[in-house]
Amino acid sequence: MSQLLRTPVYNLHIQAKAKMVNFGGWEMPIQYSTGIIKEYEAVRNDMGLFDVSHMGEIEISGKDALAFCQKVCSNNVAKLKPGKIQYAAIIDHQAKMIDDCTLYCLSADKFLFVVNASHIQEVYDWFEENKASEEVEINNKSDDYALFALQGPKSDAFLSELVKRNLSETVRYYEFNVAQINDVACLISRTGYTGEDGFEIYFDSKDAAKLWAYFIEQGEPLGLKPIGLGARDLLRLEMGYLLSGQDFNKNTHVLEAGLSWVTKLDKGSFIGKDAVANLKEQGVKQRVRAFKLLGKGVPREGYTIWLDEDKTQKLGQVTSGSFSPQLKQGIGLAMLSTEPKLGSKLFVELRKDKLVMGEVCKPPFVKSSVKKN
Amino acid sequence: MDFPEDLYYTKEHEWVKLLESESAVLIGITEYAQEKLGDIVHVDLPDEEDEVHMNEPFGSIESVKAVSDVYAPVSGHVVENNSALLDSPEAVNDDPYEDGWLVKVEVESMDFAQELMDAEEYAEFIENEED
Repeated sequence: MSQLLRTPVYNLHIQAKAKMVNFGGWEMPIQYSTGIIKEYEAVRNDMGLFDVSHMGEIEISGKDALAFCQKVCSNNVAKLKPGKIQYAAIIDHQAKMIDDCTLYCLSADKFLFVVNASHIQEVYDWFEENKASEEVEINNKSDDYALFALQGPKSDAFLSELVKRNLSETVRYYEFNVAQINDVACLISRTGYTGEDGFEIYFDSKDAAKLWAYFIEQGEPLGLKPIGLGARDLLRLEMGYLLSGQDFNKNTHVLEAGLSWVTKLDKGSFIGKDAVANLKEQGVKQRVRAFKLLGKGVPREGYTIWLDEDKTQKLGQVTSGSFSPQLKQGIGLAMLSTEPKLGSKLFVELRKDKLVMGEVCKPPFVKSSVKKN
Repeated sequence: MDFPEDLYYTKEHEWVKLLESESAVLIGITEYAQEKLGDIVHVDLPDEEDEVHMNEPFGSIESVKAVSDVYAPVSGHVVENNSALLDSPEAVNDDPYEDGWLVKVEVESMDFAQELMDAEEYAEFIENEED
């Protein structure tokens, strides 16, 4: 196995006694010393700081940048204006998922794709392969950028204080702006993957250790904690957000991933459009759905889901599952045949033939606190 | 890390307490085990009267991270399970040797005792496992 990659803040995680794990080829903190639940609570009640520097940043620039983004992206990029952000899917000709991403409009002819760590090279190669024009430049900037997510109800007041600017007025949901934090030039966006109000902060990776230490020092008295992947997974699952490589992979059609809401057939031509239209016409046979357990137990990835207790009809399998600290019950996402309606019962096969009843529900599992204004 | 001297320990990180005046033992998991598992959110235990078999799983512990089997250090039948854990599974984290006990088992024979480690041996075992 090749050497695991490390973010520029690796040493500070070790100093903070984080437990490190292999996450898609990266050595990342799964939790710090106080444990996953305490970290989870910090984000829901106060604020938490996530090192997500492993994420990839691919810059698209040039006269044909917009046309290129339209071609490789499921969402309608023409709707983006400088300072705005979109969530989108990157799909192949069969409309299978290459990755999900956020897309930043830096200027009329410059865009920034933020993609998942384990797909950086794949997405970059895909972009190069589909670059039809000389008027497009594709730059993989993943090593240049570090990225922290600051999430939780106290983030707005805290970060506004640090940048000496009222962020609730100047950076709204899915918008970004630039600011100095402790003399480091940052791009601050009001985005995140926890369901809480908060920010994602991009800057030169050489400043990462300095900025991490600064955030911890300034934020700790206000309840800020560093947060690992364990709590991050609980937070995103409670929102019903997809995890790349788990809730979808390269065999998942974009409509099966439940991403029709960011797939705009009326925007003109794009890669995978015909395959999307075809499946739409035929009808989607399976789709990622949310469910919760009605009995005790915790659903885990790979568990089988049945329609009935006698296991005569298989509905699908769990793609992500965990225990919701807020609901105090097992919750999950599963690739299910699309027949079960909201509220319909299903049976999750935990271990040793033990079945627990659950029901199909509508995400999010807990109320989101993001400020969509 | 705390390993009480009056308990016996297994390589699977369970503890066994021999109950005086009874041919029964109490079984739980060690402080080391609960720390490795992290926040415990659900405990699955056998019912009273169920049989358990030495070195075979008799229940499971779910933490937010993963699910782990608990192996029976003895053979016998369950005389009591710690039903309080159904509502407060976190007791296994908070107090693994007292409130966080799992089951009380009436043992068939005392043969199991030779397989177990005392506190000192167990501490040494963990140190080697950590390395």
